[in-house]
Amino acid sequence: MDVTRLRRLLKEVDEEHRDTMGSAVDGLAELAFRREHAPSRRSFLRGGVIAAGGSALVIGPLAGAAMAADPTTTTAAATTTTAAPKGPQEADLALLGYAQSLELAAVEVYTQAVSSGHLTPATVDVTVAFRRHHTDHSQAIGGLAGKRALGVANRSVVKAFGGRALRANDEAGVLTVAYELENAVAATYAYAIGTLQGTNPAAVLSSILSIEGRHAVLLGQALGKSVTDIIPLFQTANLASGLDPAKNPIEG
Amino acid sequence: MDIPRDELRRELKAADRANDAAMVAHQRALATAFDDDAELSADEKAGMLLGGLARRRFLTIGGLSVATAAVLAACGPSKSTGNVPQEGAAPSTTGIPARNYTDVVLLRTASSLEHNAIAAYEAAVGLLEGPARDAARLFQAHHAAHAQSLQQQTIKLGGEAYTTANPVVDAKLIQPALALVKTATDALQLAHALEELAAHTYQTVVPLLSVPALRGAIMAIGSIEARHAAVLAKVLGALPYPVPAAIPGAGAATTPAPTTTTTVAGAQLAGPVLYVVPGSFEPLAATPALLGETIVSVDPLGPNSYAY
Repeated sequence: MDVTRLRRLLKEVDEEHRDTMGSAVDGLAELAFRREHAPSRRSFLRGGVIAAGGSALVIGPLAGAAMAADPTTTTAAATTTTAAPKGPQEADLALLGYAQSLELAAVEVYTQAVSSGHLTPATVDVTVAFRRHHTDHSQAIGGLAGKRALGVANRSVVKAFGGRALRANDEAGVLTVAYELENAVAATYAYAIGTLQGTNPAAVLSSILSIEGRHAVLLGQALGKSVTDIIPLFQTANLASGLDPAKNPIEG
Repeated sequence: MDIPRDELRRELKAADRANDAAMVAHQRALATAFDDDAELSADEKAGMLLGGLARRRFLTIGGLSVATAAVLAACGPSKSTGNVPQEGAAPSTTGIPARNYTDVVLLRTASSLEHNAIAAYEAAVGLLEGPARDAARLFQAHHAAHAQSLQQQTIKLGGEAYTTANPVVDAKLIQPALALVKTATDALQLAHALEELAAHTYQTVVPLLSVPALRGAIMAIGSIEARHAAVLAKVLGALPYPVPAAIPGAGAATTPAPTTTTTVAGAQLAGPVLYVVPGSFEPLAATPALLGETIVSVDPLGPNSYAY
C-alpha cells in the first residue's frame, strides 16, 4: 500500500469520526430550538445520544425566548394575550434618552430655583428633596436607555423654565415654574407610557409619573391652588401639554 | 515509502478501536449527563463531557463545547436531592388553581377597585365637613369616571364590564375597616389608604398589560389616584417626604427619625408615618391606616383578588 492510499484511508476514518461528532454537536444545538415538539426525555434516551442531548437542552437559555413568545390564555374571558417584551426595545431607547434629558433639566431648574434667592428655608428643603428625586429618576432612566442616554440636561427646557425661575420676582413665581414643569413632565411621561414597547421601561416611567404628580400636588397646594385645579379627571397624556422633542430638543 | 500491509492493518484497527472506545465513552457520558437519575452532580456531568482532555486541548477546543458544558452544568440537577426519608403516606396538597390573567381581567379588576372607592367614600363622607367633604365628593366623582372609562375599555376588548365593587376587597378590608371608622380623621385615613391601594395596584398592573395603549390608559388613572393620596396625606398632616438618613461621619446634620402621634380617646398613640411624596419612586408597599386604636395595613391587590 502506498502513502496516498494510506492517507486516503486515514482521511476516511477521520471524516467518519468527525461526521459522528458533528452530528452530536448539531443535535445539541438543534435541541435548543425544539422545545415545543421535543419527544419526552426518556424517548430521546432510547433514540440515542443526540436525541438525549436535545431533550435536556429544552431548559437552556433559548427556552426563555421561546416562552416569551408563548401566548398566555385565560380561563375567564377566553381571549389570548401575547406577552409583551420586558426590556426596552430599539424604538424605546430614543424616548428614554429624551426622558433622561428632562429629568436632568429638572435638576438644573430646581438648582436655579434655589439660586433665585426667593425661597424660604422650608421651601428650599422641599426643592432640594425634589431635585434629589429627579436625580434618582435620571439615573433609573439612564440605566434603561444605556448608550442612548446622553447624560445631559435638555437645554430647551433649562432655558425656558430655568430662565423663568431666575427672573421670577418672588417665591410664588419660582414655585409656579416648578409646578408647571412637573405637570409638563407628567404629561410627557403619561404619553410615553402609552408608546413604550418594553414593559420594564413602562413600569419605571409609571413609578416616576406618580411621584411627579405628587410633586405637583405639593407645589400646587403651596401656591394656594384648589384641588380641582391640581387634580384633573384623568392625567393629561399628550405632547401638546407636555414636552415635545420637536419643540424642545435636547441640544436646545 | 513502503509500509507492510499487515502493519497498516494493525494501525488502522488500532485507530478504529480507539475511535470506538472514545465514542462509547462519549455516548455514555452524554447519556449519563442527561439522565436525571444518574448519581452524579451537575458539575461532574459537565466535567465528564470535557474530561480526559488535556488542559491545552481544553483551551483550544473552542467556545461551543465550553458553552455547552456551562449549559449542562446549569441545567442538570444537583447531586443531592435533599429528600428527607419519611414513613407513611405523604399528605396530599391542593394547589392554587391555575388562573391566567389577561388584559380583560386586569381592566375588570381596576373597575372593581374604582367601585370599592366609590362605595367607601359614600360610607365615609357623612363624617366629613367643609373642604374635606368637598374633596371626598370630588374624588368620588373621579372614581366614577374612572370606572366608566375602564368598563368601556373592557367591552372594547370583548370582555364583560365589571360594574360592582371587588368582593374580596369589600369583605376583607372595607367592611371591617368601616366598622372602625368613627371620626373624620378615621374616614380620611381609610380614604388615603384606599387611594394608595389603587395607585399601587395600578402600578403593579402596568407591566402585566400586553399593549402600550392600555398601560397608558391605566396610568392616566393610576397617577390621579396617587394625586388623591397626596392631597389626603397633606390633610392628615403627613410629612412632605422622607428624609434620607445622614451618612455617619459625613458631617451632615442628623435629622431625627420622624414620628407622629395621634390622640385617641385621651391617650397618645404612636401612629404610622405618612408622606405626601413617599420617595423617588412610587412604592408598591402596604399603606397603614390608623382607625381608632387599630392600625390596618392595606396591601396592593394580588392575583388572588383579581376580578376574573
